Amino acid sequence: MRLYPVFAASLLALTGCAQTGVSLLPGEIDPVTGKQNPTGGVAVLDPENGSDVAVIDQANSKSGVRNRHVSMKAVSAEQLNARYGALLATLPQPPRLFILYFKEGTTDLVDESSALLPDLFAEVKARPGVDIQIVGHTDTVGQEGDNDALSIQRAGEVKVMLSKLGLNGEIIRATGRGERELRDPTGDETPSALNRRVEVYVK
Amino acid sequence: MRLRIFISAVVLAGLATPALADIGRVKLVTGIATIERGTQKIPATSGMVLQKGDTIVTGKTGRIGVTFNDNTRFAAGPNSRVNVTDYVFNDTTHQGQFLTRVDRGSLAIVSGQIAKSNRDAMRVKTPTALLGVRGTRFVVQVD
Repeated sequence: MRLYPVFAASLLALTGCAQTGVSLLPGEIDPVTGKQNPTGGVAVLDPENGSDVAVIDQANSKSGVRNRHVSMKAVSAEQLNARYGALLATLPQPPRLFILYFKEGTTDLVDESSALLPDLFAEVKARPGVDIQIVGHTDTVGQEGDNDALSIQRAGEVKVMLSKLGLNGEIIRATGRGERELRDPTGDETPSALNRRVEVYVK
Repeated sequence: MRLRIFISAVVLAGLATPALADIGRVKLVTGIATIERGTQKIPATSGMVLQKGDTIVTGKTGRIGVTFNDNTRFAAGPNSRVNVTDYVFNDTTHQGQFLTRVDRGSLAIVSGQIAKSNRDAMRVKTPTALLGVRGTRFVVQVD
């Protein structure tokens, strides 16, 4: 009984072949909505040409992979937790999102958004190794390229504003998504106060 | 006039270069964890910025958590060696390329925007496997 693992281990050492295990977990619970994110999947690709060999898509499973060979088995959530609980606890928290709105044509926050700032600053303080991504968004009025530039510019202005309020500018990245991510899914060339916004991700 | 434009272009380029090279940030470290960058071996600390090509190495009891620019999150367990071989991410379009090599140990991954952008834009390589990441939370173990 005890011989087998020793034999297996020495065989591994002799052949120098590493073993790859892939454990797929259920998606995380979204801290804001409380909903579970989808499980997704991990594709095993042919190391030679990158084509699909198999897709591991069963939550709570463990697969052994060696090149084009895949063996999948079900494992319980308890088993996965016993094996990987400490590792999963080392995963950084998901970024926390704050959405800010401005009085039209200014960098003055509307009152509802000003009221979020104490929470935002507390979150920044609470996170180890914190950094912040500011993402500008526009509505669909105007050309896409112009809106890209406008959204990045708006994010830059908010970076200056938050720096003045005491956040360290070195940990802030100002970026923009133009009109790609609409909160209010309007058609093109439609003004929308809901879409003209800045998102602040505390990471 | 022309000189001033030239100087500001140089200053901008100087400012922009390190920011472009930053791909993520170390959040948590327990035990011994080191970032190998070229010939340098830098002790990993919370808040440290990572660059493309960096190798994360952990000791017997070491663990490290990292969040990347596209919100991909990593946790490497003890006795691990993980190289970020390629990382390109466009904040505006969310298009990117992400290749990680796990030489040994364990790596927990929660995928982010790059994995969503294009099929197999995020891949993980081990000595015996090539994986295409299609979401969202999994562990790769190399023994």
